[in-house]
Amino acid sequence: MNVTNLNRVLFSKQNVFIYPPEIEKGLNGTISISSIDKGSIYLMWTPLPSNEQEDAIQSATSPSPSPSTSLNSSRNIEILDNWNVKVHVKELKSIKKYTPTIGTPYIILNTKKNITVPPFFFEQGGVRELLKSLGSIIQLKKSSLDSNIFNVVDFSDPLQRSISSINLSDELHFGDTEEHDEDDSHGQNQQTESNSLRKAQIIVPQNNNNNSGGSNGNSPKISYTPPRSISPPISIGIGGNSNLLPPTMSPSSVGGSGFSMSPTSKLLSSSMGSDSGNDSDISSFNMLKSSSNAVLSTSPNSNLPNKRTLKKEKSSNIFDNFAKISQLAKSAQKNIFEETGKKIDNHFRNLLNKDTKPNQSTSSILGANLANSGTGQSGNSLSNSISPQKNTGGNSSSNYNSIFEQLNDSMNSLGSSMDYFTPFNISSSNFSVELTLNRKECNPLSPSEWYSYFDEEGRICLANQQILLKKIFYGGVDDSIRKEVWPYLLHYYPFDSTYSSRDVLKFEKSQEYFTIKRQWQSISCEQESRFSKYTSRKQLIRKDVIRTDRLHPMYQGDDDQNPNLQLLNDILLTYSFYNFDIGYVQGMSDLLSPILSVMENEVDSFWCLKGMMDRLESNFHKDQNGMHTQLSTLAKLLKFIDVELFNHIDSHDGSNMYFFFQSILICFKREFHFQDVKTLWEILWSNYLTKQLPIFMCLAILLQERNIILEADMSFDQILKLINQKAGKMDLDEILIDSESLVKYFIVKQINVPDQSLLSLKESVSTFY
Amino acid sequence: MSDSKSYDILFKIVFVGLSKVGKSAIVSRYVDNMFSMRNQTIHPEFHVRNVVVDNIKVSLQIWDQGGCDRYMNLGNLFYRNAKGVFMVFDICKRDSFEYCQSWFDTTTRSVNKYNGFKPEKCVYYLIGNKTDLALDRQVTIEEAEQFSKSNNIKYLETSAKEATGLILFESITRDMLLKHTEMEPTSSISLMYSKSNSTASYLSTCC
Repeated sequence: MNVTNLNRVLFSKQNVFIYPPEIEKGLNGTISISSIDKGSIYLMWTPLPSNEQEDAIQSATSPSPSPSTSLNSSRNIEILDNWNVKVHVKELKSIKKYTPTIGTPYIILNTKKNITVPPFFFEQGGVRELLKSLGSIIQLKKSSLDSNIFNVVDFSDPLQRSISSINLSDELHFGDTEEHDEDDSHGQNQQTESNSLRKAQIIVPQNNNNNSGGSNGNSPKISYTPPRSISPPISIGIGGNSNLLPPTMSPSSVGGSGFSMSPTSKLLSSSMGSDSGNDSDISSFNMLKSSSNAVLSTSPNSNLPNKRTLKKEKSSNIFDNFAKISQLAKSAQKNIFEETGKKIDNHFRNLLNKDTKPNQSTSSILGANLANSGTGQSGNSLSNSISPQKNTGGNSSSNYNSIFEQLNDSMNSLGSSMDYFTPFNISSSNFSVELTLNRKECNPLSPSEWYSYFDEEGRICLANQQILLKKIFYGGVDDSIRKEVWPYLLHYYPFDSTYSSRDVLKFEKSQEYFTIKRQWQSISCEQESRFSKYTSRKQLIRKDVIRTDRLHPMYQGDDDQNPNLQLLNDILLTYSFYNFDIGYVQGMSDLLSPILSVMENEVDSFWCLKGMMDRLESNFHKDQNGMHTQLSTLAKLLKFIDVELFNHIDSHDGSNMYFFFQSILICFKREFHFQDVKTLWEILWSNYLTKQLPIFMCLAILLQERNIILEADMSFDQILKLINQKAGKMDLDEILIDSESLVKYFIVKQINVPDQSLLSLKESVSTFY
Repeated sequence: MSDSKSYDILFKIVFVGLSKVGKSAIVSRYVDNMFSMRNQTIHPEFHVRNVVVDNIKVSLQIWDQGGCDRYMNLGNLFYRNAKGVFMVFDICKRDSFEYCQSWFDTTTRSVNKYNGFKPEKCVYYLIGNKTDLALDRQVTIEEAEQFSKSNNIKYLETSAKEATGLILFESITRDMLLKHTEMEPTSSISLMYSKSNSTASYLSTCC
C-alpha cells in the first residue's frame, strides 16, 4: 500500500510534543496538515520513532509519513506507534491555544465527537502558523467568550456530513482495510451483517486496536489519563441480547494498563470488548481506555470512544448504536451495584442519602442506618432510640452519665450548671455507642466505589463530593487508591476537574514544580557562599531528612544510597522556595514522609505537601500564632466540657495545653503508627463535621486520662509524660469515635457556650451531618 | 505515699543545643542504653533514671527538647526548676559549637527566669558529642575547654553511638549534690525532699 505517495503535506512543524504520563520526557513528534488520498485533509501528529531522534530535522522537512506507514515501520516500537493522532479537519470543533508568557505554548483540539486528543506542546513555536495554515483550509472563528478559542465554522449540516462521510468511507479502503486484515479482530469486521454499521466504523489509524485481546498494545492511547484501573473484558450483546457478566472492577484486573475511568465508561469499553460477531463492528471502536477521556461533551453520546481519527462515519447509525450501548451500560451499572460485593458500599450511600433528610435527629438517622444496613443487630431498638438506657444497659461503669441524659436535661435547662457535667464519660455515652457501630461498620473507600463517583468526563459532582467525604470520614480510603484520592483531598485536583483538564493541570503543575526546583538547583557554590539563609535552610533540611522515619521500609538504608531520601530533600527544598516565608521548619519532613510514601512521585508529592501545608501553614509561622490559637481553643473547650479537669490543669500551669503541641503541629504523625496516620489524615482532610477535629482528638485523649490525672494530682511534668507515653499505643478508631462524640456533643451544646471564646470552633463545626 | 519514696532527691537536667548534635541520642543511650534512628525531636520529653551517688538515692529527670528554636517559646516550662544543663555540640560541626557559645547567655537567662533562683544554683556542662567521628573534628578540645573555663563550666566529650563518656551524668549529679548542700547547708537532703510535692509520689509509683 502506497498511501504515502498520495499524501501531500500542506503544513508541517517538528518538535511538537505530547506528554503522556507514562513517558516522562514526553514524545517528540511532528504535527502536520496533510491532504491524503483524494483530497481529504487531516491534521496529524506523528511521533518520532525512538531510534530516529537524530533524524529529527530531516523527517520534519520531508513529507510526514502517514499513520499507516508509521505504524508499519514502527510496529515493534512499544508505545510510539500508539500515539499517532490523525483527525479529519471536518471533525474539528474548536481549537484552544494556550500561550503562557513563560513556558511552552500548546493547543488543545476539541472534536465534534468529543474525542480527546492530547494537548500538543510546541516546543519551538508554531501555534500561530498552524492556525493560519488551518484557517486557509477550514473557517476558523475566534470565540467571543475566549479569544484563545477558535471555533470551526460548521459547514456540515447532517446531510452534508453524511455525504462527506460517504466520501470518506470510499477513501478508506486504501489504507485501512489492509490493516484490518492484519488484525484478527478486524477480520471479523468483514463478516458484519449490517452494511450501515460497517460504514459507521470509526477507524483508528494505528488500527491494532482490538479490545478483545485486551493486551496487544491496543487502542491508540489518545490521552493520558490517571493511572490505574481498567475494565476487564465483558461482553454485551449489542443487538439487545445482553449477556452481562459480572464485571470485576479491581483496578489491577488488567495487567499493565494504567487508566482509570468511571464505571459508565468502563462498561462501555467493556461492551466493546466482545468477541461475539454481531457487535464486531462496534468493537472496532476502540473504546477501551480512550472512552474515559471524552472531553467537553454534553451530548448523550458523550461516552463515545476517543478516537483520534474518524475516517468513516454514518452518524445516525453510530448514534443509534451508542444509544443502545449507553442503555446497556446503565443497566449494567445497576447490576454492578447490586452485586453482593458492592452491597455494603451501596448501602452506605443509601444511608447517606437518607440522613440528609431534614428534621431527623442524629440518633434516629443513625438508628435508621442500622436498621437498613441489614446486619440485624439491634437496628430497631436503635432506630427509635432517643432513650439511651436500652443500648447501654450492659455498661457497668459506675459513674455512668450519659450524654443523652444530659442532653435531654439541658433541653429543659439551658444554661444551667448541669451543662457542665463531670465526669465526662465518653465511653458510656450513647453518642459513642452509635458511632462505634457506624465507624466500625464502614469499610475503607473501595476502588469500585471511588470510580463510581465520577461522571463520564471525570468530574465528581458536588452531591457526590459530600457523600464521598462522609464516606472517607467514616472509613478512610483503601490503600490501593490513596494515590488517586489524596490529590483531591489536598486540593491538588479540583473535584470538578475533568479527565482532560487534569491532564493539563498535571502537566502545568509539573512544569511549575521543575521551574521552582531549577531555581535552587541553579545556585552555584559561589552564590551559595554568599547566601547563608539558603545554606542554613539546606543544611537543616538535610539534617532532618536523614532522620525522618528511617525505620520505615521506604526510608531505610544508607543515607546516600536511598533515592527516597533525596526526593524528600528535593521536595522540601523546593517547597522552601515555593513558600519562602515559611521556608523549612522542623516537622515538615514528618508531613512529607507519608505523602511521598503514598504518592510515590516527586511532583505529585510536592503539590500534595503544598495542600497539606495550606491547611497547616499557621502552625509553622514564626510567631506561633496558629499553634497558640489552637491550643488555647483546646483549653477553652476543655473548660467547657470538663471544668474540673481544666481547673486542675490550670492550677498546674498546664492551661497552655503544651502537652499537645506536637500532636497539633504535625497532625498526630508521631502519635499513631504510620499506617494509621494515613487513615487519620484522610479523615482530617475530609473536613467532615469539623475542620478542627485535631482539637477534639486532643480533648478525647486527655479525657481518657482524666481520672488518673485527677486522682494522682498530677503536675504539669507528669501530665506531659503521661501524654507522651501514650504515643504509639493509642487505638485510632477509639480516639476517633470519642472525638466524634465530642464534636456532636459540642454541636448540640454549643448554644450554651457562655461567651464568644469558642466562636472559631463553633464556626468550624458543621451542623449538617 | 512519701514513705515509699525510692529516692532522696530529685534533680531536673535539661539538654540544649543545636539541631542534630545528638541530644536525644545521649539521653536514650543513657536511659535505655540504645542508639536508634529516630525522628528529630519536636516535643520536649523527659526520662527518669534513678542513680545512687555517694549513698544518696538520686532521681534524675532528664529533659530533652528539639533544637529548633522556633518552638522554644512554648517550652518555657522546660527550664523551670532545672538544676543541671547540658549544652551539647557536635565536634564535627563548627556551627554547633559557635551556637553554644552564643547561646550560653540566653540559656542561663532562660534558666534563671524560669527557675526563680540565682544562677549559681544551676550546674552547666558543655558536651562535645560524636567522638566516634573524631577524624572529621572541627572543634578542638583546647578551644572547647577554653570556652568552658572562661565561663566556669565543665567540658566533657561523649559518643552516644559508642556509649563513651556517659560518666557525664554521674559527674553532673555529684556537682548538683555539692551545689545543693552548699546552697542549703542547714537542711539535709531527705528533710528537704520529704515535703516534696506530688512529683515524688508520682515518680515513686512509676520508677
